[in-house]
Amino acid sequence: MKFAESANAQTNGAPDAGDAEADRSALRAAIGPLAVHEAAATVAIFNGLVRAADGTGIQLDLGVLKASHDFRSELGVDSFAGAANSASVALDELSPEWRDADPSKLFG
Amino acid sequence: MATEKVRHDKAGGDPDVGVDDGMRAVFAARQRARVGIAAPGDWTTGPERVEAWEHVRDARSNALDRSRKESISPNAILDRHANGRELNAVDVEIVHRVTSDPGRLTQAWADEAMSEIGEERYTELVAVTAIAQSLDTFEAALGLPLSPLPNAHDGAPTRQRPDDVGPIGAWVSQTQGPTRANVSRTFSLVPTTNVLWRELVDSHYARGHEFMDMCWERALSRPQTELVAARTTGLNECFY
Repeated sequence: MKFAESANAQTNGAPDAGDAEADRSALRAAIGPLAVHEAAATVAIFNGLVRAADGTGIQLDLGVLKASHDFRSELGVDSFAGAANSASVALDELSPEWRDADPSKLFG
Repeated sequence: MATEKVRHDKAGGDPDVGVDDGMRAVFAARQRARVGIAAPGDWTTGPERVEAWEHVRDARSNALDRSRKESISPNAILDRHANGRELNAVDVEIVHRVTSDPGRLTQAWADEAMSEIGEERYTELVAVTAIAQSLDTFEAALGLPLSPLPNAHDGAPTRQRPDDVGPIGAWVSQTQGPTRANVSRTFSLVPTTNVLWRELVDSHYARGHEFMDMCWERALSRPQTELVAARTTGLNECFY
């Protein structure tokens, strides 16, 4: 997690990016150099994905909206500005669309 | 899992690390994206796309972007970016805002930008920004210097809008009809750039049918990968 945080801080020009080299070294020592590359690839693509999602205003798919219903607010995710993009699909919880929504069908 | 040591300086990465097929796919996708950004897209030229990448890099330390980011609302800062060499001022604003403060973009802001340059060009600039940010972040995360920007290719954009796109609830038109997650059709309005983007996503994360497997045989386990991904999206305040 420290690697993800320092890598994000570094690529987003945060004033305090921490000690990225120390975080990389610690991760490399713990799980190996290939895992560091895979973690870097994950941080990299999600830095693109967040810009793709927020730059085009896509709505959170109903299945995921339903599956994350119980914990989004608790985690503070509902307070993110991008939540406004999905307001129109926040259907009544008793509706057939909500009942039948299945997140696994989105990715299978 | 067979690994080997290869040199992959041009694609970015530690030349001494052992890589597997998955990481080789990452490097290949990165190289194709780099070449593809330098070439004409559907609505932007090669020189415009390379300049957009240059603005992605500038946005990380740009004073105007920083003051907007630190402001309680980005709208509180009235200054705007100027025209670039190839890009107009609206283009430059889009690239800087999407790079530096994506979590606070609004539909009103995007609609205003699209009224000036069109939704196709807007979408393509967001796509180029997302690709450039991904390419640079990989190198930054590994502590490597950023690769030089590619030389732009001549040529005209195709300027062809796909037939199967329309409103589906996002700010921009996307593929209609049965599909999977909305994120999978984000840039379907601009297919030339979308090909580059989809290959990056698949190689860096989803890897085809492996995506549905909760136990990955990779150096980073599925739960570890998802934790890194969730932390990244949280830090960027992305609701999706």
